[in-house]
Amino acid sequence: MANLSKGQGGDGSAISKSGGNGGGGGLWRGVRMSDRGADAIVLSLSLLLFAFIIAALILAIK
Amino acid sequence: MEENRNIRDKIRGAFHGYGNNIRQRLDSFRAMNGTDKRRYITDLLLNNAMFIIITLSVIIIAIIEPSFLSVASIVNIVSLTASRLPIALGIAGAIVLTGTDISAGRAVGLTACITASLLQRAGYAGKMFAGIGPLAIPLVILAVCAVGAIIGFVNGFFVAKFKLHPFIVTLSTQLIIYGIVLLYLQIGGNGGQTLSGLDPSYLDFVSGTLFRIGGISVPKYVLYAVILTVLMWVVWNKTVFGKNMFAVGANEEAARVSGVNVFKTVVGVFVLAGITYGFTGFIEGARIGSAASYTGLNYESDAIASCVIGGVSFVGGTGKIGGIVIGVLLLQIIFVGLNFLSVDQNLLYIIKGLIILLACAVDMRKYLKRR
Repeated sequence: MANLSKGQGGDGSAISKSGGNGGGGGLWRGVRMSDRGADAIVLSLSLLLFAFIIAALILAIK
Repeated sequence: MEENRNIRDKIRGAFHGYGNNIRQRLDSFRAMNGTDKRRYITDLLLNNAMFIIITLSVIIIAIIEPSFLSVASIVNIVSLTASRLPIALGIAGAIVLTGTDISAGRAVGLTACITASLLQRAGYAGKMFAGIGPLAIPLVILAVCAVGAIIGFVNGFFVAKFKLHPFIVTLSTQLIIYGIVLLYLQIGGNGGQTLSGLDPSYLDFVSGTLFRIGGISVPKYVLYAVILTVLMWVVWNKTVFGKNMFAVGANEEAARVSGVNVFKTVVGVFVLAGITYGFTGFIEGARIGSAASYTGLNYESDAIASCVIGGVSFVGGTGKIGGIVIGVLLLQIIFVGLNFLSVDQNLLYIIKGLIILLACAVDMRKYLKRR
């Protein structure tokens, strides 16, 4: 799903820290991922977090 | 009279502008085809996933325990938000520079211990510095802010000069600070014990009543947090230093080529962060009523989570003071709510970790979309 690769491509700007896309860099430099892949990760994490909160509440009430 | 009318007009204008904005968005949404509409709704839901989950959780908590929405509970949430806000405002600067600061919690612990040792009441049996009475409060604030600034300078210097990742630099300083805290607590025959017996003037200065709402006391440190937030807003938005910070965070090389002194900016951001840790330590000593080696433990994780929830992106160069305030508030609401129902503390750690992970994933998704 997540295809991580070294920073490349983009606008080829000499001053680009990430070596691509002409800006940003930092943690996400060189990250390649499809829209659906990113959506699926966010959705799964959201559901997991909500499930944990609800489970914690149910355990607390009991 | 004239001034009041101007303010009224401005407020009316702001609401009118806001209404127009919503109307424009609705019109453009209606003009979309089916696929675009689905995409728009998906984006809206996923970008705001954290807010939706926290809002739903708060509603469920309020249904199970209606007293969660009582004045006492709301004042408690606001007070906790105020106590955690300064450290979050400091760390946010480091995150804007695509870095982080994991020494923050220990810096708070050290400055809290220093504050407590200098402001123990005269004649207290376990006083660390038995020879001196409690010092003047402004002097102690200056001292702990200076200690925080030195910690920040060390962090910033190694990050800026040696191009080390802030994670590894602050990991090192975290351990060094912890060692210093443990050694400090041995001074004067204290034997590593918790520092308590704080001077009443100090306790009143921090935790005294600012005003009352429905008989519930709002502590003074809420006011201090508001003042600090305003100051940080000015620094971030109205100074050259603030503009440089965002420029360096967005693209360091571009900022350097544009004539920004990157070294000074990075060191400045970490020094500013250190000062906020010093101030947080000063507040925490009186808020808790004592200081020990474990004071401030894991504070950085809450602060980082708050920043990311509030839209301070790890991509760098993005973040707003208002977002950080909302991030801290939301995190406190959910944790006060879960504590209200006596949720298992072990589960709280898992929930906290998931919140950070989800906030980062949402941030990453937005960044990938922009590309």
